[in-house]
Amino acid sequence: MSEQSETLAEALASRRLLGFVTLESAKRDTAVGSASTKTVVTAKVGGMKEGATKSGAVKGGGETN
Amino acid sequence: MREGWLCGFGPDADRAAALDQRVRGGLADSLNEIAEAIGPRVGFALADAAPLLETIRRGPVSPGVFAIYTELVEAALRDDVEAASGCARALPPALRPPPRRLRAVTLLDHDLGAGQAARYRRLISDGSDISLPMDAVDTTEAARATGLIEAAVALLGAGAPAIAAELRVAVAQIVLIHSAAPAGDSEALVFDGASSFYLWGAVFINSRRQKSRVEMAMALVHEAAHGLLFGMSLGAPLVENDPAERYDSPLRYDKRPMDGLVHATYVLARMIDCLQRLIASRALTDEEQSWAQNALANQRRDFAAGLATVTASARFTPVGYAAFSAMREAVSIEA
Repeated sequence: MSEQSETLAEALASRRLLGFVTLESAKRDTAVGSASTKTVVTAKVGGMKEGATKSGAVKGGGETN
Repeated sequence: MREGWLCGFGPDADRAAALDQRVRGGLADSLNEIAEAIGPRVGFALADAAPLLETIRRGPVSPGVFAIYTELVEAALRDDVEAASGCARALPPALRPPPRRLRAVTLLDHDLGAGQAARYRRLISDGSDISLPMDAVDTTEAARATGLIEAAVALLGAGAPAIAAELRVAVAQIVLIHSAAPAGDSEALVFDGASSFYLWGAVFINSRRQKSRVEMAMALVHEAAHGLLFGMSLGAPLVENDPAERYDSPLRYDKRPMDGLVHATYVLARMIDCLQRLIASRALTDEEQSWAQNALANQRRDFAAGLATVTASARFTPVGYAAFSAMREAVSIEA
């Protein structure tokens, strides 16, 4: 159990977090919306079919991702 | 040996089950660590958590359990005790109903459980600079799409039974959504489908864009393939390339991170494999056969372009290398 003076984040700092790996990567993932590795979106913009991860810019052209 | 098998390419229901078991094991391990570290402060003491963890280890659980876990971690990382406690309280009810496989649902709490529609929506769309519009489908569309899913799975069962068997294991929920660009918003992302490691076992399908059973089958195969990659890597990147690096994509205007290209190329290979099986099976109507041949040609072209870029520049992780190598051995780009 953690000391009460610790924040929850500090108490979890060295813990294994599924899909987050480490506290630092978890912070980074949260900051950028889980970036390119946790969510994939197959999408189109402006009538052109294409694919995007959710952090990706989106313009036109392809088929999937 | 087992790691190699887990990263294999061909459809395999046993492998999908093993990946699911491994991901659930990781979830239970992590929840155990959370209970040890902060449990009493967020109402998730070890003694209370133990039976929940046993349920998670024992068999498949709803994607909603992963959604709650993710929100619990995020709340803890921003030191939000109240939100973390709320997530801890939400876990037991989310674990109670044993999940059905390939269950079509809408983006409503009625289907997903209290508070879950907002979680699902956020985990699929948060963090992007680009709006990702989506709504629950109405009952008429839900009925149409559910019928189409049943027809798609039946088609796969007849023409590609190994893929159908794998889908039944890999996909717990099919979240039917409606997505269209808001009027005047040319930058809105209108998606066909989506998957997230944070919603393990769920696939999102923009159902109105799926007009036929073969299109729906391909949409399911596509999203399930992303999920298998997530399972192999436990949500981690498949490459060591800096996520800030961007590469020309055969699939898009904009340059993409290498992890996205690996995902796209792998998923295209899975779709090519499925189309080849369906075409060879003679399970398709003449019209579907024509559609499938055309789709196969397009996907082979895109696959070849993606493969060239990945081969030239990817710096794979061990898991990424194993998965991509297995894919290359299995799929030919020649017509």
